[in-house]
Amino acid sequence: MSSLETELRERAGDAIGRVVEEDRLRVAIDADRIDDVLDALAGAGVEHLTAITGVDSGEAIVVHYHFLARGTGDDRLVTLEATVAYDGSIPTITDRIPGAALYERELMDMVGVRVDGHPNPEPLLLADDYEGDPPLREGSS
Amino acid sequence: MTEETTLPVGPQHPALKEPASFELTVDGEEIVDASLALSHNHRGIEQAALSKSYLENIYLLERICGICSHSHTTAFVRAVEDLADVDVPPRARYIRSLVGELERIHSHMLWLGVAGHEIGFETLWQYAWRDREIVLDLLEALTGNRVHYAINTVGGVREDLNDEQREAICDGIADLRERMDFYAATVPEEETVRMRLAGVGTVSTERTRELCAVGPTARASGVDTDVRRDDPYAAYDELDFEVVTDDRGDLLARTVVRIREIQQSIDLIEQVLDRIPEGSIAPDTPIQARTAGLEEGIVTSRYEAPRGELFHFVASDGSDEPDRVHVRVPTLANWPTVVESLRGANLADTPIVVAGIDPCISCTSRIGVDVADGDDYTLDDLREYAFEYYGGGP
Repeated sequence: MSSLETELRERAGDAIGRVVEEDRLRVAIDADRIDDVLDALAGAGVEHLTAITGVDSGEAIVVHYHFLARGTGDDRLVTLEATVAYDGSIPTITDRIPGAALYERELMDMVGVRVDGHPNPEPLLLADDYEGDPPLREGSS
Repeated sequence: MTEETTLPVGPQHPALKEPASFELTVDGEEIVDASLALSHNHRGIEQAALSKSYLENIYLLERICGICSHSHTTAFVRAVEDLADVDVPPRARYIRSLVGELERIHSHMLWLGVAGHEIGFETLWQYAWRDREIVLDLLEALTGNRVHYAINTVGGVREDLNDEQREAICDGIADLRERMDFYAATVPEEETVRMRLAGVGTVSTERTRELCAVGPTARASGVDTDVRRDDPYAAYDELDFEVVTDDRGDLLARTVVRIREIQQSIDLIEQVLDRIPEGSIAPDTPIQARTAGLEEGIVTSRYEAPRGELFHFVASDGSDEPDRVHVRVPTLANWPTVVESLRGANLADTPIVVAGIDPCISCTSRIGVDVADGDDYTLDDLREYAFEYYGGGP
């Protein structure tokens, strides 16, 4: 277990699930307890959010939060994976990390995950008058 | 008495020859609030990528951007090489760095010209674009093209560097170095430049970190970050360079950082020409074999594009087409700093503040849907549609 992982587990407890991939730190998290995980990340000095990727797994939407543990000559990607039901929602992280605002809007547009508490949940990438399924859901037409 | 008015800026050519629209709330000449609408230019590239093979996708993703095309292909092939577990020969890694640095110079010179134009300093624009031709000629000599180089493939590069090209690059960058010394000495001291850029559009170090900004925009606000140093790819772990930062956070700092980065790129190119090892430029296996039988998996890849950290996410389901491709371009990461810089700025500074992050709408608006719904629209149909949409008439 890496030292960062140990630190995160100590801080966020069982909000952090299994390690999905060893090379970089990629862990499953409990979406409803993302605040605890963000506290743990902030405590460990991980602040830079690189991107948020939404993937339709065929059964649910998996939201990948890609954070960067920054160090001179030693960057490490920390990916948190939260699974959200098709009609479910996740809490916003924009209140904690202002840089997430546009990425969460992209997530809402493209895979149709509702982000609760987003300060400006308007379409970002889709046309204003777009009517249709979120385009990156499987079987979207 | 204060009276606030809302002004639309854009979507046609707000500062650049690309569509983006801003809604500015102004009180007299001062901007008190700003919001932006980005996507007027859907291209559907992320969806198109799902129905193309990994090899075809190299050429599709290269067309995300007409400036940092090599950034996109390098980030993508790096992800695919990770998935396929293919080693890249050292000579190919050096050639990737060489093209990457030439591209950074051409992108930063383009920006320097645009910045000159936005502040009404047309001489700087003409000078910068004239000198940018040196790099474009070198890129053309090396790859056959000025902007879409198509040099990358999975496992290596497609064209080797010969002695004649090497000499041409040596001569070209020697000329360029002289020009850059001139810009580095004159631009930051020039009266027009200082009047329009010093203290304008400032973003603090702390705010830049909170907004997760990247690249020269972050470095000019004192955030010491560079993927080339922190997560080395291509040949950067064997090359020496300085990560240029500036604590001032204003538009002048962004200009100085970019000029000094060009000087660093010239150093890097000299090192590449000096140290490039002999050997093959790609594995001996046929290219189709390198992407055959990929495992299921998710890979990510980061690249220091001219505008900052570029991120590619590729998910494979084991077939010969990707299951998901997600691209986070540096411009998307830097837009929030524009909104921040616009608040409190003078209305007349809008074009240069917007141009300050070197935005690329073409990169940012690459995602999207087929709005025509399969029908063929002629130019006349679209013209009719526009009149209908905006409620006017010819």
